[in-house]
Amino acid sequence: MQKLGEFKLPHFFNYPPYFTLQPVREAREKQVQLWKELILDYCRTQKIFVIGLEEEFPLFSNSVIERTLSHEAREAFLSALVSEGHAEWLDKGHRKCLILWHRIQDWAEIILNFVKDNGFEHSVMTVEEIRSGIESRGTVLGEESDLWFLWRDGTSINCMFPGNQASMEKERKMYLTL
Amino acid sequence: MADFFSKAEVTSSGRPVLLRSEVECHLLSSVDIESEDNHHFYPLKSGLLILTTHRLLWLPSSSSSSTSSAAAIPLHAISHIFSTKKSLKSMFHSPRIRFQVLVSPDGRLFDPASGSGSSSGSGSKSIVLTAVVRGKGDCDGFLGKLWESWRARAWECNETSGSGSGSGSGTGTSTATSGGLYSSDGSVRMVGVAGILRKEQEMWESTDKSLQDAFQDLNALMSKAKEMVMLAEKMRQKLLSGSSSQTSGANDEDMGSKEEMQDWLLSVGIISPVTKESAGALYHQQLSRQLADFVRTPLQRAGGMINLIDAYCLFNRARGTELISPDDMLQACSLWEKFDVPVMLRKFDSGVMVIQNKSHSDEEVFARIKGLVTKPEALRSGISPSDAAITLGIAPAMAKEHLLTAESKGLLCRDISPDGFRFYINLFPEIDPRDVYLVKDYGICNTWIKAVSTSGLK
Repeated sequence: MQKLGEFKLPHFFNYPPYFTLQPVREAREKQVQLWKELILDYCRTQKIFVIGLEEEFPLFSNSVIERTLSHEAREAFLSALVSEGHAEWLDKGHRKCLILWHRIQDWAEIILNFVKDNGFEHSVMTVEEIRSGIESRGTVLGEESDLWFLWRDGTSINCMFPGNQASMEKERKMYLTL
Repeated sequence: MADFFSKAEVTSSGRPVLLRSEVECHLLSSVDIESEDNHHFYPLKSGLLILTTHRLLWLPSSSSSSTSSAAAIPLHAISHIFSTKKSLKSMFHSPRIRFQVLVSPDGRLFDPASGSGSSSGSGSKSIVLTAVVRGKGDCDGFLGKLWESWRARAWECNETSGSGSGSGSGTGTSTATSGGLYSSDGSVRMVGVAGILRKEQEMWESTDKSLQDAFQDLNALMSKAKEMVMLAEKMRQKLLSGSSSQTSGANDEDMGSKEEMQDWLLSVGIISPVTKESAGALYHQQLSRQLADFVRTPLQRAGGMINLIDAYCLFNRARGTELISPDDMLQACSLWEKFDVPVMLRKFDSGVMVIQNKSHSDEEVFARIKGLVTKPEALRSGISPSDAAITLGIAPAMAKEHLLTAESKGLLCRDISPDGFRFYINLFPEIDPRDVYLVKDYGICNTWIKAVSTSGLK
């Protein structure tokens, strides 16, 4: 089986039509689905969260069968991820894409569980405390991820823990109210 | 009473089956045929009257009535043709054509082909038949042509010389191939290589002469058409015998060119093309029927489906002169829907138009494509339209249409790369999105992985 670094590639990665956008609906849907899963899987295991469409991306070409995804195909597959909430375009020209390992509501869930597990309810924490505190060490919150990329990018993550509600807003803002 | 006329054979698409070297001259629609006393047969009502060089054919107009009721009157049986009387009365009537036919003693139309032995005239009486032309048609023109054909006595020509009309090429070839001791004119046979060369020379000279005659102008070509067809047939025969007698000396290229030549000669063949002049208003209808008969052979060779453009070229090549326009072709094809013919016009999604047998099924083609695409080599590197064309024995453009149709049915997937446009078997439905690494022990996916892994891919 073919490997990309440490990443195990599925068999159909060597199937040439996998690299051509299929015009027939059923085949196209299945193809898009398989690409979505593969991109997410690869990004999560390889700790990648930004894909530049015009840059080399190991997954988008297969030297063994000499096939490369066209720009159109890349955009189609990433757009499918965006529509599911699993990715976001970082610019209007769709040249850079942020892959969300977890959708924003899932991140909210993770933070909520983190807060509950550590008994931080009814207290106030700064984002920096969550990110680099002892409690988050060794968990998914303690490592560099798309969540902190979003945060540094200017997305406000307000963490207030007075109540018991978690909500999320679409505009790449996360309000956590616990 | 009903079988007063001899029956005329009709093709499945409703065109008359012509005799050897018989040519259609004129057509009239909505014609009744009556006899003056009405004793011998029921009047034939409203049919298509076709004049050929040998016969008058009457075909029932509607395709619903059985084709067996088509009637034929040999021109041989006609003893007199009455000229039309121009009177005030005739202006208000439908135009009529009257002619006298011989009737054999047993009360049937005199038929020279039946071999009853009774020579024309003696012991037989004659009756007068009237063709009433109810439709619009060139009645005078028809009468003129009838006179012409009747006087030309083309049937006698056919009887006297079994294979040819005594053209130079005919005698030339017969001396060359007969192998008798004496040549036909009784002169001493020529022996040895010199003799063969001489005969060959003579044959070519006569062939050359008839070719020159033929190409003097188009009219001459038309009148020579019969001879040319015969010549082509002879050349084909010669090629056939030549290829069988040649054993080891013939190389492949030679054979190839011979086969090609044969194909050309075979396609010379429509002796009596339907023309606007002869068919008039019935042109497209008759053309359509003739086309339906014609395409059957090329269709068979092409595996049940042929490109409309290819059919057009073949058809026009077979006609030789009196070429039809693409528009006429299209019209003729679209008329098939109305007739009961075994072929149909089909338009693909891409706009490509083809002629196919009604019995032709896509499933059969798909099965063949599937067989083709699951071969180990095709699993590895897919198939291109030209690969499919070679295996299916059809034109590449058509093969591509088939492949695209198979793709839309979910049988194939495309692969566009710098290598070109190729098709692979569709593996997508077999892949389980929940476990992309799982491979079932059976199914095409497994076969594919095996085929790919043996080729050196890991």
